[in-house]
Amino acid sequence: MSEWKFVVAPHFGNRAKRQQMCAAIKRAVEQRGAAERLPLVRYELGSRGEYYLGLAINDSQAEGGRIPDIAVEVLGDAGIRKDRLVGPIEADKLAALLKGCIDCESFTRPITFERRQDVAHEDLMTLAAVLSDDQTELDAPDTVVIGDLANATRMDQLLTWCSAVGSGDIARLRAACGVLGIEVDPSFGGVWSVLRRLVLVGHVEFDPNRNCRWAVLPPTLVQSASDDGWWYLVGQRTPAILEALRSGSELGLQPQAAAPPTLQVGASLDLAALMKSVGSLQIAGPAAAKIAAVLPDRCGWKERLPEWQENDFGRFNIEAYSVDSDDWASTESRAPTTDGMYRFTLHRESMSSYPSVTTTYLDSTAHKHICGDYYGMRFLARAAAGACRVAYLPEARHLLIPPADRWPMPYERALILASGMLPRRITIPYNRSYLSYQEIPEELAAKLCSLLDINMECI
Amino acid sequence: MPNYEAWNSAIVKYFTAGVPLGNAVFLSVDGDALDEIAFEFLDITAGTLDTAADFVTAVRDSCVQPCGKLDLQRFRGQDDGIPGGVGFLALLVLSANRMQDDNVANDLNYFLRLREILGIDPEQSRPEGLPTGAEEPLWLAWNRYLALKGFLPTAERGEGPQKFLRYIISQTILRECDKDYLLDVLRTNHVPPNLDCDQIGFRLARCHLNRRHLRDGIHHPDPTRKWEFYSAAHRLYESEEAWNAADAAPRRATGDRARTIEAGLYREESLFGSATHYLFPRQPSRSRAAVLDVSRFPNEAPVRLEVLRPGFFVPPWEQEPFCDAPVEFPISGGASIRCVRFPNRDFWLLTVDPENPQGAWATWKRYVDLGERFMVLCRPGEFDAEMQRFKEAELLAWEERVVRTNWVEYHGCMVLSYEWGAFIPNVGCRTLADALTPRSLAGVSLLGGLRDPNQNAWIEGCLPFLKVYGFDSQFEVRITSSDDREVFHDEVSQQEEQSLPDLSADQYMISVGSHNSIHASRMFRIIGWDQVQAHQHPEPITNASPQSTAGLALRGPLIVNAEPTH
Repeated sequence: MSEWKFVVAPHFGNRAKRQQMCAAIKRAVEQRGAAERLPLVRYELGSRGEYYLGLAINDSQAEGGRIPDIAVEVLGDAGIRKDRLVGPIEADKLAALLKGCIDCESFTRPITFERRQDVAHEDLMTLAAVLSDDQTELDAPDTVVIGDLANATRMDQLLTWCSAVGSGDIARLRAACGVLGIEVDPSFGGVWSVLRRLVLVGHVEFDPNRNCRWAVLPPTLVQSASDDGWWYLVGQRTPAILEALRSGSELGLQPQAAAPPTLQVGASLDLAALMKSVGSLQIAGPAAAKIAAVLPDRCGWKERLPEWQENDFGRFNIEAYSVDSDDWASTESRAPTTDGMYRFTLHRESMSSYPSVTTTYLDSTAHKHICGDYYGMRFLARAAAGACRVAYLPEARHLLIPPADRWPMPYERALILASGMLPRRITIPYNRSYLSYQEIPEELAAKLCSLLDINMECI
Repeated sequence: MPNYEAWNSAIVKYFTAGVPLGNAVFLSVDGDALDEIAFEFLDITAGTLDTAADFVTAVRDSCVQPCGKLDLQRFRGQDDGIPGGVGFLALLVLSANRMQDDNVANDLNYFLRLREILGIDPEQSRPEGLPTGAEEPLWLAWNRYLALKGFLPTAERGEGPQKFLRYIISQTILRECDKDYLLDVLRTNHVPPNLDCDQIGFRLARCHLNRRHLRDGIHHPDPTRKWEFYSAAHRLYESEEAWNAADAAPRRATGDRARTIEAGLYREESLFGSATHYLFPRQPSRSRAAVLDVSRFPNEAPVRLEVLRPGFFVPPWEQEPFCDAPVEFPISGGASIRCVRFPNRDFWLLTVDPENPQGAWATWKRYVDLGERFMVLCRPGEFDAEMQRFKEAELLAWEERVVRTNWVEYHGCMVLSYEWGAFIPNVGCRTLADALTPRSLAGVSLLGGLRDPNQNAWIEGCLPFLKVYGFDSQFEVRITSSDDREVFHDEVSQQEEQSLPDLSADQYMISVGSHNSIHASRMFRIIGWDQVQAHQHPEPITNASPQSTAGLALRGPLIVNAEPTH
């Protein structure tokens, strides 16, 4: 508007007449196809008597201080004589005077433009690779009040909300975590860390090919790998679903530190009756054993992982993973050559303030960088160095894994689905800590260790 | 012949079918609606019954005593969760729709007409048994029912002598006498065939309308009401069988008319900004759900239209936003639905998923709310230039302009000014200006919080912020609960986020005003955690990525396919 000028004319009339005059001028401009050159018509507010009428001009003739002929013609048709016209005058000088227009008869204040904050990109960048070893999920609270949803944990509420909305993208989950006060610390993977946990315990599934779009599963019963074969519920969990389940079976809640409590269902359940009372109920059966039976071995898995098609490493800040210290160290090399895990960081101002990070495992024999998540690539690096350890406690049916040796997600899924419980952290003498996976039968433990080609120590 | 209960239930189903949650429901019963209700929801073959007469008889038999006195007692209960009085309220609206002129505001004439329909002594007064305000509990029950189902109730009380009559007038959209007049207007203005609802609405808004009721409706400051008039006009336009053919004696179609499904646009964006557009069919309102298959090309297998959520089908295929002529995709399966029509538009206004602020941009809504961010897709050339003029006139602003091969995109648009009346649009772009012009001085947004989209309700303890967008610096905001108790009353600054008080589960009304007039109102509902409902059909997402499943197709604990996918 700053470029436009106004031609002004005094006129007489009340508000209604002023509006009629403006409408007539608008029509005249439209009929002449002159809207580009005469873009606005306004009037001075006031209850009666003389007022100023203004017609905006966007015309080269106005630049020379002349009122364009088209403006004279249009205003003449509306009954305003040429000798009454004043201008052209800069628009900003008249802004306070010409406040009236059609359908707006009072002073109004414009709305301030708001820019959108785009966090989705940052979320996905976080997801890509910066996940550090997240220990916050490992310490379990002691109790959860069974059936008391009003006092349920935040993760319980998150699952209830997921059950209601059905699906969404990573930003939607992040927003929900924000409202519920669930911490999404970027240094521990941000919202990806929350999504990962919900996926591992089987409540939701995600599609990495669709910007990590996720969806909750319909209520699904999974048989644990315990001796007595109790079941647990994953997927949608609402008061109505719980009520329907409660009518046909015994329910119990096992607390978890950073996931919804595991809802255990007694082994003596009547599946047919439950499926009747919960219409959408699915039966997954012994999921841990089923998945373990079809998982590939470590080499097979590595072959399935995508290759990172990047040749210009000079653009990146490169860090190498040290198996000994379980930490990153800067490397001077512009082109890594030894097997191991690497982190490539690229600061791109144009995309986001957040850096683009890629975690890879260099397989020097195959001459390729393999892409994957932090835990997966770290496992490959440590396994290749022969550093991975695992212990089995047959009596307790616990599998113990040092945090640094946490298994790749496909294999950890099988471990967690044996009980529906995330691992707990236990500390043994000499201050060593382990991830403890529960209800793991020896055959399952042996099968998975064999697939990953690591030696299982029985204690 | 269906009894009162059957009509009552069918009317409720008819008016709520295919309506997106959060959208307004008007009980605009007229002769055409009764024909469609009979055909769609009472399985009565078209032409075999005088549906209006049958409906009136059913209501009369249920409430008019032999002495001519009305007995509303039986309408006060519920039948299978549905308020029992909707059929009776529908008859009240039907009576108003049969008024011949603008005299519906005259209660004496109205009750004369009502008495005539009910077959009781013709007097210009309320019938015996229907004292002043006796029908209000029935309206309130209907409004409550709609709000509980997640819809926006629209029946409203008036003031002064029209206190209760206003409930009826507020539901009256196109009266019988308006329909022929409107068709004349469309013919006189040479309205071409195959226009969609928006296009018809914008054209009518430019026409000179002599009838006050119609004029007020088409130009109503409340966009929900305005668009109800647009939709009714579009239904009329569509049902005019002779519209496309030069039939000298056109007849208005009845319940079995073949209809079209309107399609809009659905936009999916990748992380790095590339976008794909899809055909986005609207679920037809006022019809019974049916299995519908739509064909893109004659030689291709048809695609089943799956319901995405009430009001919308899952986008079936990619679609270029702009075409040279309307495209019709034939439907098989739905007896009363002929095709999906993708209109020939010059511009699209896309808003973000109302259930998910981080979701897809699409034609979710018929209009843009004040303060709402939207995306404009328009043809290059004069529409693109007109957008630049809007910006120059400080009416509109955007974050980014992206030029595509066949169209131009404006991302992050916001309407900034109320003074669109000053702007002189290019003739060819009037519709774009009309679509963007704000009609009210303020609007209220509820942002954030956690919602149960199945009930269009927020969850207790996770309430949204309130933000007023309007053309003044301060607004008076008042929130009342369902029992009209004031729970919040304060001055709120323009565009300032305002926390809501700790509200318990209930239904609330927000009114926003300034200088003693109310500019906007909005209803919202809060439910407890124990009322949250499960989504009926969660998306069946399968993950087969090597990193997280080793290439097995997994859905949580379920193995969809044990063979690795490459």
